[in-house]
Amino acid sequence: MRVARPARYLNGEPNAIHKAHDPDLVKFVLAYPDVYDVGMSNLGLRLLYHTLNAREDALCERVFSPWPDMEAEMRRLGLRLFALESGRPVAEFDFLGISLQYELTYTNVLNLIDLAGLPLLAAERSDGDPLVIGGGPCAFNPEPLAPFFDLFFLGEAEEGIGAITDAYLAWRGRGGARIELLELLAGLPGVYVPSFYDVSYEPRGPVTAIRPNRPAAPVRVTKRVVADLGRQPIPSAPVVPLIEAVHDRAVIEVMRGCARGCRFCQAGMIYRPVREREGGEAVAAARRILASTGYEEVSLTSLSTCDWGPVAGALRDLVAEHGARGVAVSLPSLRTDTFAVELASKIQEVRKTGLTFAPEAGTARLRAVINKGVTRENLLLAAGAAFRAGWDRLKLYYMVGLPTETDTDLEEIGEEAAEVRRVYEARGVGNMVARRPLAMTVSLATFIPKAHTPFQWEAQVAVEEAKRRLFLVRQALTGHADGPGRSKRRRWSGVKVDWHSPEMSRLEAVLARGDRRVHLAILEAWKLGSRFDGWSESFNGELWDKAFQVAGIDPGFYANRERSLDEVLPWSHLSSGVETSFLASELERARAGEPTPDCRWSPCSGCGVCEATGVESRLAQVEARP
Amino acid sequence: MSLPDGTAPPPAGPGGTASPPVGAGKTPTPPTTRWRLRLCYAKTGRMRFISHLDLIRLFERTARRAGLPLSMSEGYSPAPRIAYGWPLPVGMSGLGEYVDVELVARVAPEAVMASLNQVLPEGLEIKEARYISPHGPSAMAEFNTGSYMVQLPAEGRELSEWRKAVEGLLERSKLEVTRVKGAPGGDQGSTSKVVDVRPLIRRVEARAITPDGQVAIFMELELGGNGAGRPDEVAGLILGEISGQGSEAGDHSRQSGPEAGDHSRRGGPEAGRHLRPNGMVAVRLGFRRQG
Repeated sequence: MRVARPARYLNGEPNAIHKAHDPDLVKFVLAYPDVYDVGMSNLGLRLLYHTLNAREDALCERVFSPWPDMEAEMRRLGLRLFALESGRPVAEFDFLGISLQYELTYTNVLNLIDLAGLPLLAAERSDGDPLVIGGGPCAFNPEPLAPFFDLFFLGEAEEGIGAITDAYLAWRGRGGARIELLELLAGLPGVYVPSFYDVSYEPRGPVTAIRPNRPAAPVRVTKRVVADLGRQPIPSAPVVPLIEAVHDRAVIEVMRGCARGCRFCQAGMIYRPVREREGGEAVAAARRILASTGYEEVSLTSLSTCDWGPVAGALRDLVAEHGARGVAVSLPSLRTDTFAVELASKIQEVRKTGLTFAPEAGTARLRAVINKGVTRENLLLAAGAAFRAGWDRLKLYYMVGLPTETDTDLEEIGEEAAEVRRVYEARGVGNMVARRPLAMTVSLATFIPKAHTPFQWEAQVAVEEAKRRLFLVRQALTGHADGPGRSKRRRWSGVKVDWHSPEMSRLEAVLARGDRRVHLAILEAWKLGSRFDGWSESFNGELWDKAFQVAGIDPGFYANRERSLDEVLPWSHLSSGVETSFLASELERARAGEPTPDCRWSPCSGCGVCEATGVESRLAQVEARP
Repeated sequence: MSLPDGTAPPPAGPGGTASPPVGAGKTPTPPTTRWRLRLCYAKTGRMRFISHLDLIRLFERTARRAGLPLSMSEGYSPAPRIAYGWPLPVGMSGLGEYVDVELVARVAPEAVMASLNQVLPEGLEIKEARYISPHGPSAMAEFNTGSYMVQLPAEGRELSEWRKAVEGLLERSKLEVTRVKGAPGGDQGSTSKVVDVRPLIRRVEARAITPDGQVAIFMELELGGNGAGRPDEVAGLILGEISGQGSEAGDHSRQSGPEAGDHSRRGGPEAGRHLRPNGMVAVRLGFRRQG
């Protein structure tokens, strides 16, 4: 067999929707620019699939990036990219929607368009070709991809896709050119047609202006959001993958948005405002999904599920209803406090998993800078509660290269981990528990400044400096200064340190804040053979170095340069609803170490999202909030 | 593609005593009565491309969706007590595969079949269901022989030529093939070993030339503690025999010379598992116990 895991390219999964290709329907194919196993774990893709197929006048199918073995076979046989459900060529659909979740999928994005047999550049596509539309978090700065896309959608597509479908039907009904359709779509809220904007630059310098070149294009495009999750029901019968997906379980989205305001976090800014689902609704949805899929695990997902008002009651109800049948309940991430540990203990009754906390920075000072309101006391109390409840595996997440960071902040990560270990050793559990040493993993990542965050103006530390800091933390944790895997003298062997490649984080930083000129480097990297850049085993930094060189792009200009507050940012015509002035004031407060509280339980911090989107925070009914 | 490791439970003890139900190793058998249902199913069409591990996951979910009263194992990770028969290689259809499911209540076999077939994806179908003794052998222990129908491009050769090649093959006392484990060039590396597959062959017959120019070959191969016979290996050996390799005296067993290699695009002398001939279609017809 020439292709590994052929089931990635099959259809016929339980609950997949097959509609006849009636010429009257609007035909969408949704693409995820990674393999099936990864793409099928994406919630947004699943939601949109069901939203579109629920319409009688539309159909929606799926496609994923072929793994290089399959790509080689497709190119050898001259096979064009085909949609899973019908097996029809992607080029025969009306819309090719591409999910943009992660910058390091961009060469796969180009590969999908190319394998579909479409011209890579939107300007070269013609009337019969599908419109290529991008959505997801990376659509908030899609400029490095702009020349490859006909349009982008900003925000929650369930809310906007209906209007796009209607506009398409109206256009097709009366017949017209592709450009007329784009003009029609550009007038819809949340729709960004990049070819309708002219960008000017200083030679080898920053953007100087971004101006619409058509009357239909607004000066600024603001995202669209769903006002009430209760009116956005959870699909009852999601597709069950035939092969194991990365996250292969029933997923109940209990909340959108997070108002904690961590200053490095793009998701925490662009998905505002907070909208909670009612507890009973989530429990009922879990019942329906478990019945229709047979899943053995249900996960309550959101950016911060411990903050979801009904969480305790819902977990209790889910465990009571499904636990006896061997169905596990899981939370994707835990807040660093004892309440979170209590919740985890509830679900621990069914299945034991490791515990993960994310203090992000090693000192109170730096945590104030990033507005991560966790104290060391919180962490130690939470860890102590977890150890007494029987956990002996713990994972801690930290970043290096945060704004204002000093070596002291990094060394304190070692001290913090050592204190956690001392809590473990003094935990005083019953004699039933084996005296196993604590298994701790510390995961490190290089900070990546992202668009639409208070740190969007900040510089990323250079790769060499990032490495120095990673090694410093490693030394503080384990007591040796060797490179990875060469440790001889360990002060503490129970801790495992791993980190995300600083080279990959640098590339992510370039693409996350790039302007349209960066598209040349992506094109070049794709031509040189870059694929699956987000997979450390396939990432090839040398290919990218060459691509930047050939394209005449200086990656340092995008990754390692601090911007002035008055610079025209490449995404300044795109709005998440959070005002730039708020982001700037947050940057100032960061530098002063001042916290900004969560607007769910403190006064409004004035981010502007409620005014810009016309949607307000919406909290579920609960008797008492934690 | 080789069979996934670790999917085969140890063979039954002496005298074919019952292998323990899945997950029941540590905990005492609960007092509740368990109903042990043996299902015979077909895996065909696109479903032949899903691996045995994928099938296990799919089948458990299907059983939940169908609302079967599954008996669960105890402990931290309760799992349904389901025992699978001999795994099918990825890409091969099976017409009579087995799986044993334990239930906590008796449901009419016809009702189980109907509810499962309603929710199983196209390409998987329950053909038969019957209750078996809770103490009898597992499906894997009960059967030690698989029967297969293999079709290969006949390349214009008469049936008699194929029969002669098969006879020639069966006369050999040793048939060595090299089995490669792990992806060659993969980061895990790969290991290979030479296996004599002659003792694993119980029966081979060239049955017919089909109207579309295929030769249909029936095989019975051993499944058991000595290893499992593989239809693609045997087909590769027959191709080696018919292409003239077998007429030479001496080392007939290494059916991996240049001729055999021609039938496999990637097959090299050491790539035993790549001996799968081009255009081969194999179906496992069923199982039996022999000897």
